[in-house]
Amino acid sequence: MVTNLSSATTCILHLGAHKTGTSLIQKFLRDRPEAVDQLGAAFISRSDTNQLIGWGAVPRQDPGLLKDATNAVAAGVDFVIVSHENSLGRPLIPGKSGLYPEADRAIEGIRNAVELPAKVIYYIRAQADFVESYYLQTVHQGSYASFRDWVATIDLDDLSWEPLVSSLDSRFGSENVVIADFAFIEAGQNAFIERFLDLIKPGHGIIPDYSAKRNLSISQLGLDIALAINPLLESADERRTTRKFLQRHFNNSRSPRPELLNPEQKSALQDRYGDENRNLIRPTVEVA
Amino acid sequence: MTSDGRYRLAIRQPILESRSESVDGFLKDVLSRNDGNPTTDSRFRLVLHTSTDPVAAGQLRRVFRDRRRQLRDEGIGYFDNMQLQKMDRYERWISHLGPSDDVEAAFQESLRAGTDERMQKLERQATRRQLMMIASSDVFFGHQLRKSDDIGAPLPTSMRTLRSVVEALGPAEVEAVIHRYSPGLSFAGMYQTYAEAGGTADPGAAAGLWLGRGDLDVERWKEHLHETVGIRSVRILDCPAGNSVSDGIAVLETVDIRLRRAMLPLDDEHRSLGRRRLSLRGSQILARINRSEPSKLQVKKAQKWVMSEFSGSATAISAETTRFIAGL
Repeated sequence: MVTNLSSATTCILHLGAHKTGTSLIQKFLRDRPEAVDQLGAAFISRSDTNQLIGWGAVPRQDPGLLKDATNAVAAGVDFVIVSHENSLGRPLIPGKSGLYPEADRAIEGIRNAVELPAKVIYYIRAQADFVESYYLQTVHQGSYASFRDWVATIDLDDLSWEPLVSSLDSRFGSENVVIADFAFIEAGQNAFIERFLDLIKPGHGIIPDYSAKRNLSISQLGLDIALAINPLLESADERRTTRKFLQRHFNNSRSPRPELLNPEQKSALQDRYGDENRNLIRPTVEVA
Repeated sequence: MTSDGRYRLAIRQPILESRSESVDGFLKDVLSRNDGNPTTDSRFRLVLHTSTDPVAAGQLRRVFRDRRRQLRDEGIGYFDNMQLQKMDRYERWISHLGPSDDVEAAFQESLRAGTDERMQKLERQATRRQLMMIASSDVFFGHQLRKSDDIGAPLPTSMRTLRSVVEALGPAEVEAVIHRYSPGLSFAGMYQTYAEAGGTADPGAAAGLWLGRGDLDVERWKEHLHETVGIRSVRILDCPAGNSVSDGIAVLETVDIRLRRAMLPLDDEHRSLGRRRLSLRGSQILARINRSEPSKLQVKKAQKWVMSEFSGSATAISAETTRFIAGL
């Protein structure tokens, strides 16, 4: 396939991490094509990126897929946006150390598969919140391991974001890598989206007014129920409907949040990684 | 009225010596079914119905309720378990308070309030033996399931209600009919009822208790009805595990052909009842949700959700549960 690439077109690679508002960004870009137009961008849908990237191995095995897909929509736009939180593999893998232990190979594959000039946007999250949130995701996906058993498989002293950021820097060049802070979500959903758009194109003029509800997190009661009934579920559809049911009727908006990491563990993680996380974040870098 | 000045039906005192509204409700209900509709059967019969599968019993009650008019046209009065439970509640009230002048005063007041004439009418009808009532309930025979450890155990209050009815009418006039479904469907129905009542045990534990104790042994029920309640005629109607609703009604014609005439054919809504059952797995999911002691509202939501996601047909659930029981 021969494509006349515009040197002015940049591929925005929004690669994660999990549990950092990636679904919100993806849904906004999907539901608001006028905003994508105003940004001068083309958005490759999240369902397409499942095929193009998967859990990070596809670009390495078949780089043409991602290359062709990004090149195909590059004409006439300033940005091609790819947003896929599974790009760098799974965050925690039993028996392997660190966050995203397979990220380095995945980053190499993506780098080689994207022909356009590329910029990476990557959100990081405080380790304690990340571990708890990811645990709840594993439960939504069908796991029924208690938090105590699950966290026992994780080395809490080996959860630095630094190796992953270094890998991104080495493949893409640090000037092309934005590390953003998920904590900005506290400013609100629309502010969070606006901030993401800022990172692509400062002064874009888009004022998001996006009312799609984020999935509520389950309460302690919801977690207890999920752990009790997950062993009985037999299909992905059943797990999906169970997750929706629990998020709707057993969420933490009125009931206590799950008690996962204890205060001492949280404090230890903050002491260990707090400063490092702050130093990794590059809020002033402009992508465009 | 008898020679001692009391109404003959006053031998039903455990039932009728109630708050005036209960007496009114009872009489009104009975009389409204029989006015101007002489039956074709000269006998007066009270037929008590239950089922080894409480879900099937509930579905059949729904058809009975919806076909009250047709039953009345056939000369059949229908009295469902809710009304019996109402009496049962009164009975418990009486047993708690004991007989008193207040109770007697309430009874007399109800007579003064206009029940006098209706009681005489009821007596005349009963004497002519033109009234047949079907009381369908899954609570009669001791398999009403409770959240507590007495799951499957007989309910003394229900037995007392039954005895009251039998004593009031005389044992010869009371019959019992038991629908016997497949062990798979019966167990699935028992377990669903148990889970819907707040039960928390897994089906394996429940099966160990119920099957081990013989709770599904209909011959045992029959014995219980003969000996404890005093019912002489106990009939067992075997039902294949197909469409439990229409099958159940079809076999009722052996009790009285008028039942079949009044209730069949089923309309679409009644036909679909057989498909609205929880699978064994769905009931187990509900039982496990119960373990976390959610609020009443959350329980209602959970029941609605499991029914929408984990329901199935009687045939499929019978097969699923039969396999489960075989694997125990």
